[in-house]
Amino acid sequence: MLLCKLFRVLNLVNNSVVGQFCLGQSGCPGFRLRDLAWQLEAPYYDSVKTKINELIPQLSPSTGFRLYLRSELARRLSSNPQYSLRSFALQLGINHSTLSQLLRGKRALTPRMIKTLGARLGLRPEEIEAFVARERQAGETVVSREIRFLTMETVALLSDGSHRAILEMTSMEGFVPDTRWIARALDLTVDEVNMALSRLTRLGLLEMAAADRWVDRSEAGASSDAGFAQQVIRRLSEQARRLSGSEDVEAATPAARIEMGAAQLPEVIGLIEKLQREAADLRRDEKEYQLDIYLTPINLKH
Amino acid sequence: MGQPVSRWQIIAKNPDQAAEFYCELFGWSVNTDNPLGYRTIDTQSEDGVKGGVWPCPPEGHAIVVLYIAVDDVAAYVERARRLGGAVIIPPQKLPEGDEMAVIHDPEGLAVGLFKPASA
Repeated sequence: MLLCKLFRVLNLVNNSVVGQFCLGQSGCPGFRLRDLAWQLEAPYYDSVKTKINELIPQLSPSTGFRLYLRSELARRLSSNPQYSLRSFALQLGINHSTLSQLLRGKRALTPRMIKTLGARLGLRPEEIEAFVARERQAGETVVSREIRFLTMETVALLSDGSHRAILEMTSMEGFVPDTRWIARALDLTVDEVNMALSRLTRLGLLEMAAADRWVDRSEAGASSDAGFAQQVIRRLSEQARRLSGSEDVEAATPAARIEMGAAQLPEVIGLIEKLQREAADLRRDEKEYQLDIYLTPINLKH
Repeated sequence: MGQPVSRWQIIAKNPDQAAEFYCELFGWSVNTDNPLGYRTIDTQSEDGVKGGVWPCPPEGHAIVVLYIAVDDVAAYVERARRLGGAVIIPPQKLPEGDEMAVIHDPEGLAVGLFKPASA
């Protein structure tokens, strides 16, 4: 038994703090560092503690909330011989068996659970959000992740007037197809212009046809807000279907852009929440489409 | 000829900081004198492939993309799709006549396709 424990501690030190630290795992159940304090020399025990505490700060939202929970438990166990899984569960305000399932990956970590536990662990709101985002991404397919990214790019494109301004400029006399020139003309940074160009070219709204000729491919969409929004949403829909391999499917995508004043926001948010509740009740046998709704301020700089 | 890895691109949230980091670390230099103000990196060596730094939008995340030289970007994009890849950035021209596209392999890794203007 001692050898078994020693082996696990060596793994703990040499590999990673969480890679081998499994609660209730068969073969060596109930392993706790405090047991070793009775059987090993104190200096070795101290070095294990030091090593754990060196490793723990390396864990961040990018490693996932489950890993963070495990490392937090490991840290507390190493610094307090009396600490246990039950103590941790008590502090988190959840049942110890629920905590055990969460740690072993037997129970899904919902955004609500991460927010609750993160707050009880004293994490900052931005850290909690990063953990929630990380967990959401972990369950996503490559295609749905890319479509979500594309949708966010489209939102940025619609909410920032510099994109339309760039398209309009391309047909103006004296236009210089050079990012640095555009940046000066629109009072933006070169990077801001390049990010805008990336979005426009990706959706096929702008073509850099030649070194001296950039062409607005928004099909006159840039002439009005509504026309531009329609074009952008149509291109997004086309690309999403291309990404998901459903190009042959008729585009049954009623998409809309609705502008409103600040006073109408509470009413609109209420409508979105109502839609969310009703859509959640719909029977969903297959996952072929997804509905994203973003409410963004319109930042028309130009 | 073949289809070699012809360049790399760091897509960074803070491109100035990223460029500075690598230049400090390896003694590389940056040149932005081109129509896109693109940070092309000179590795100070004839060996290996050259690269550059491009800004990452707020909604994206920092990555490194390797670009493979091909003689027909659109044809390779189509070929990638048939093999289970996805098209992330459709084929497009760059200001100086180069052509590029970005695909995802079946595991979701981004890979660039690049045809220089001279090819």
